[in-house]
Amino acid sequence: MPDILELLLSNPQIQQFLTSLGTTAAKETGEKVGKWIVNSIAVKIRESKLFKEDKVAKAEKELNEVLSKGKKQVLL
Amino acid sequence: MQNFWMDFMTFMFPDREVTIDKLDERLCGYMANRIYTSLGFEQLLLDAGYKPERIRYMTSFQGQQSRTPHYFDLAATFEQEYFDNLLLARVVDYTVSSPQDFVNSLPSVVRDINGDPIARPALLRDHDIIAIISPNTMATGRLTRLRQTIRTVQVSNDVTLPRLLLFTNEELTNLLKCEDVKERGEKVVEKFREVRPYRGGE
Repeated sequence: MPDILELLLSNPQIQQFLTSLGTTAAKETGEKVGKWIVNSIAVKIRESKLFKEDKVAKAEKELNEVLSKGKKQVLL
Repeated sequence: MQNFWMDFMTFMFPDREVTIDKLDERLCGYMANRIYTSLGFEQLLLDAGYKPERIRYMTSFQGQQSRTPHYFDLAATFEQEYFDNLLLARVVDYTVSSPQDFVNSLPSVVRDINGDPIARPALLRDHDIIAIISPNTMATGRLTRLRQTIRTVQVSNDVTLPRLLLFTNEELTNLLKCEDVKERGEKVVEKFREVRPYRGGE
C-alpha cells in the first residue's frame, strides 16, 4: 500500500502545482512560495514521526527538484 | 496564474486578495497542512481496501442555484455493484472556519450541488459519504458540540444528506501510527461502519 510520501510524490496535481509555481511570471516569488509549501509539508511529515529522516529528506529533495524544473522551463 | 489551489485559497479567504505574491509563510503552512491531511486520509482509504476509480484533490462542485463552487479536499469515486458511490472529504480547520458552521451548512450545500431533482439526477445521494476531518486537536467541549451538531444535521436531513463521518485529529494520527497495515485497515473499516455497511471488500 502506498504511504503518504509515495502518494505525495506521485500526485500529479501537486507536481503540476509546484511546476506552475516555478513557471509563474514572478518566478522568484513563485519559487519562494513553492519552497515554503514543500518545507511546510516536510515539517508536517517530520512531526508525524512516521518516516525515517533519510526518506523524508529524499522526498523533500524530489519536490524541490520539481519546483526547479518549472523554473528551468522558463529560463530555456 | 490561477489553479485549483489558488481558487481554493480565494474561496477560504474571501476577504483577502489571494495571488501568488500575496501568499505568506503562514498561508503556505495552512495549505501544506491540508495537503498532508488529505494524503493521510487517502492512505487510510487504500489501507482499508477501498479501491477508488478516481481520486481528485481540492476539487469543487458548482452550485446549481448559487453558481458558486463548493470545495472539498478529496473526492473519490467508487464503483459499487448497484450504484456508484462518492466519498468527499473536507478538512475543517477551526483556526480558519467553524466546523459546526460547515456541518450546519451541508444540507444547503448538498441541495445547491444537486439542484432541481426533476431536471437532473442528484449528484450527492444519501448513500454517499462526506468525511469531516479536523487537522487540529479540539477541546473536549468543542468536540462534543461538533459531534452533537453532526448527529442533529444527519437526523434532520437523513433522506437527502450523504452519511457524515467525523475523523478527529487524534483518530487520524493514531490510525496512521498503527504500524501493522492489516490492523490499520481493519480499524479504518470499523470507523466506516459507524455510518454504513462496509462494501469495499465485497
